[in-house]
Amino acid sequence: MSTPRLVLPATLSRRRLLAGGVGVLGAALLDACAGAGSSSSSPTTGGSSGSSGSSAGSTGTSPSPTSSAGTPTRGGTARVGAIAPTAAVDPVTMYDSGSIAVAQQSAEYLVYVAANGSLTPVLATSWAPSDSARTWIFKLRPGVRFHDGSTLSAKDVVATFDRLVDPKSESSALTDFQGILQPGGIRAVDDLTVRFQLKQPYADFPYLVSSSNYNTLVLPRSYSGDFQSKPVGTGPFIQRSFTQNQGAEYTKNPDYWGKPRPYLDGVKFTFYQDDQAQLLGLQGNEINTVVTYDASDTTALASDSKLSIESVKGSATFTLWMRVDKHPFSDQRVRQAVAWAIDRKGLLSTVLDHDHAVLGNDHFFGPTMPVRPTNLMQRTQNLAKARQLLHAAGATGQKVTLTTENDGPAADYATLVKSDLAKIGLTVDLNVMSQDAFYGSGSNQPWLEVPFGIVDWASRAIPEEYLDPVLKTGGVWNSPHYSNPALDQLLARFNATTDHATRQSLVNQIAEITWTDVPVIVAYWDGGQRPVLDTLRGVQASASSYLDLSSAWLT
Amino acid sequence: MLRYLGRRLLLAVPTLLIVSVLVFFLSQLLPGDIGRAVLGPYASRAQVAAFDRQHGFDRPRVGQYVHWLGGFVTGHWGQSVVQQEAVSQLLLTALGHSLQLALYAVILFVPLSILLGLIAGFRAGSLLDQSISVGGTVMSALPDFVVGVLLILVFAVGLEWFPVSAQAAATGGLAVKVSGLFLPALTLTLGLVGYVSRMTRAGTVTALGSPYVRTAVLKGLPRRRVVSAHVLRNSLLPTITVVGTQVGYVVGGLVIVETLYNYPGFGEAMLSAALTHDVTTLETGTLLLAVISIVAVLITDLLYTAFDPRVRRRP
Repeated sequence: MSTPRLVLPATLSRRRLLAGGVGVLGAALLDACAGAGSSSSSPTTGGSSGSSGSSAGSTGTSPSPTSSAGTPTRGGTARVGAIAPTAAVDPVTMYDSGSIAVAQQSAEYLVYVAANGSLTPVLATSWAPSDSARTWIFKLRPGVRFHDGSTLSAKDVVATFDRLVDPKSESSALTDFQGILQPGGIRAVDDLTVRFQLKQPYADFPYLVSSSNYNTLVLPRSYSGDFQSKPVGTGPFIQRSFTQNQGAEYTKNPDYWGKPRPYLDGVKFTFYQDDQAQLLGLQGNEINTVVTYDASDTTALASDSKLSIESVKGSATFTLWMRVDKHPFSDQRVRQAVAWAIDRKGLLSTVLDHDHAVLGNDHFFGPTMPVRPTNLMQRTQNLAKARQLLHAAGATGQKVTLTTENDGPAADYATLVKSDLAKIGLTVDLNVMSQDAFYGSGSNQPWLEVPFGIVDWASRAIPEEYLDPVLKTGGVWNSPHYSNPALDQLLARFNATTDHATRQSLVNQIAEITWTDVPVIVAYWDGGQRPVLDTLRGVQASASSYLDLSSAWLT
Repeated sequence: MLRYLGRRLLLAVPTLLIVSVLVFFLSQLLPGDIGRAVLGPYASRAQVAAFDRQHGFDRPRVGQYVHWLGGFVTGHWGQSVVQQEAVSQLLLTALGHSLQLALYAVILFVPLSILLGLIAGFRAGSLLDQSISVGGTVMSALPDFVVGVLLILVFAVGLEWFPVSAQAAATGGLAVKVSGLFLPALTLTLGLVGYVSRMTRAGTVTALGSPYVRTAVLKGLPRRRVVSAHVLRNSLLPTITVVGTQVGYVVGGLVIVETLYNYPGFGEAMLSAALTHDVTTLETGTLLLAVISIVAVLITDLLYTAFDPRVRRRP
C-alpha cells in the first residue's frame, strides 16, 4: 500500500491564541494606526508570483531565484519571526512550520521544489529512472562539506533514507515510503552515486526525496538524534545557539557549496507563541520577515509602506468531502447537486479574499503541479441544475450535518455551504469543532468518520500526494470512504508511467472520474503569503511556509 | 508566632495534595496524547503507540501519579519528553524571568496605588477622588490584551520609545531590563492600580473617620504624625491583603501579557506546554504555581500580623 506524503497543514501545529480577542482587535487597531501614519503608496504585492527563472535541470543555480531587483550586497543579519517549534527540533520527526524552518537553515535536501512546482537540484545534481521508474539513480554534487568538515558522500544519503524507512523509525516519512522504498533498497554505487531500488514503479519519485517530503533533509551518517543543540548539515547557515521558546542564532557557512551565496552574515530567529505578537514585532521593525503568516492579517499590513507582501500560487485547499457510503450522499446525484450549488466565485471573493487563490474544479491537480487535466469545463454555481439533481435523487428537504474545524477559513466556508445548500432545498446543521477534537486520536477521529465535512490540506507538489491517501481504496485519509477499482487502476498506471503524453491522458481520465463522481469537492486552490520588510531582499513567499534565506540580502 | 506559622504550614499540605490530584488527572483529560503531539498528525497509530509505551505513558494512571508526586517532592522533576530538556531547567528559568517582571510590576503598582488611594481618601468626594476612582475602574475593566496592544502601538510601534518584544530583557543587562520590561509591567500596573488604590482609599476613609484619629487630632498632634502613626498603619491593612493575593496572579497568570510581549516567562512556558501536550511540564508547573500562591498568601498573613498585633493574640 503506498501512502505518499501529506505535507503538514501549517495551521495544525499551533493555534491562534485568543483569536477572537487579540487577533481581531489588534488587526483593527493596526489598520487604523498604519492608515493614519502612512502615505497612500501601495505595497509591492505579488512581485514574485510564479518564478522568474526556470532553473530546473541545471546545476548550481539558486534554489530560490531572487525576487527583488538589484545587486545583492553582503553582510548583515536577517531577523526572522517564527511560531516556536512544538517539540525538540529533529528533522526525522518534525512536522510543524517552526521546526522545519529552523532545520532548513542548516541542512538541505537532494532536490528542492521551487515555488512554481519545478524541481531544482540541490545536493543531487541530476537523476534518472530506469526499469519503468522502478530504479532511480541520483548523482550527488561533488565537494560539498558538512558543518563538521566531513565531505558529503553517497553513504550519508543512504544513511539518511535508511533512517527514515527503518521499521522502528518514529518519522511520519515511514508511512510515505511504505510500499515504495524499503530498508536495503538504497545503495551507494560509488561516492557520488546513489541507487534507489523501489518496490513498485513511481514516476514522481524525485518529489518523494525532495523538500516536498520535508523529513528528508540529508544528515551525516554519524547523526545520533541530537539536532537541536548541535545540528550538522550542509546548509548555508551554521547554528550557533538555540533556546527553547526564545530563538536561534546562525552565522553563514564559509564553506558553502553554492558560492557566492549566502549573502547574509547571519540569521536570528525569534520564536513567538502567538501570531499577534509576531505581527507587532514586524510592525515595530524587530523582525524582517516571518515563517508563517495568517492571510486574514493582510488588511492590517497592507497599508504599511515599509512592508511588501510577497505571494505565490499554491496547491493548498480546504476540501469538502461526502461519504459515498452514507445516506443521502451515497447517491451520486446528491453529491453532484452539492458541487453545482456551491458559489465558488463568491467563496474566493468573500471568504478567501486574496489574489493568489484560484477556482478549483473537483479534482486534485493543483495549479502548481506538473500535470493538469485539459478536458474539463470549469464547474461554477448552477442552482437550477443542482435543484433538479437533488429532486431526481429524492433528497429535497433532507437535513444533514456539516462538521469542520475551527481554523482558518473553514467555519466561513461551512457557513457559505449552508446558505448555498439552503437555496436548493438541503438543510445543513453546522458542527464546528476545535482542531484537537476534529482530528482526534485513536479510534475517535471525526474527520475520518463523519458523512459530511470540511478539512484543511497544506500545499502539495504532486497529485499522488492527494489522490493516494484521500481517494484510493483503503487510503489512510480517505474521509469520503471512496472505493473505485477503475480509479485505483488508473492511479497505479499513473505511478508507473513516465511518458508525458500517456500521463496527460491518464490525468484527464482520473480528473473526469473525480469531477463526475464528486466524493470530494475542491472549490479553490490557495497559495502562500509572506510579509517582508523592504530592507530584506531575495525572500519569497512559500505555499508550504518554507523560508529559504540562501539568496537573501539586506539593503 | 512560631506555632501560628507551623499550623499554617501544616494546613498547606492537604491543600497541595488535593491540588496535585486535580492537576494530574485534569492534565490527562487533554485531548490527544503525547506521542501524537511529538510525532505529528501523520505518524501512524503504531508509531504513536510505540512512542507512548517507550516513555511509560501507557502505564496505569495511579502509578504514574505516585511516581510524579514523589519526584516533585524530592526535586526530581524529570525530563520533558516533548522538549527533551529537564523540566526543572525549563520551569525555573521561566520562573526567574517571571519574578523579574513581577518585581518590576510590584515596584510600579504598589507605591502608585497607595499614593492614589491616600490622595483619594484624604480628598474623599472631591473631583480628584472621583477621577481616580473612575479612571482606575475603567483601566481594571479593560482586558490586558487591549491595554497591551494599545501601549505597544503607541509607545513601541508609533513613538519607538520602548521595544515591542520584551524577550531581550530576559537575558539582557539592567538597562535593557528596565526599558524592555516597562510596557509589560505598565500593562499589569494599569490593570491592578484601580483595585488596590480603592482598597487603600477605603482604609483611609475608615481610619480618618475613626475615634482614635479624632482623638489624635484633638489632642493637637501634628497632621504628619497623625497620618503616619495612625491613618497609614490602619489603612494599609486591606491593601496588604489584596497585594498578597495578586502575587500568585502576577507570577503565574501572565499568559496574556507574556505572550503579547513575547517574554519567555512562566505563563508563556505553561501555555507552550499546554499547546504541545507537554504534560510533564504542565503538571509540575501548575503544582509549583500552587506552592508559590500558598507561600505568597502565607507571607501576606505574616506581614498582616506584623502590622496588626491583634491577630497574633487570637487563640
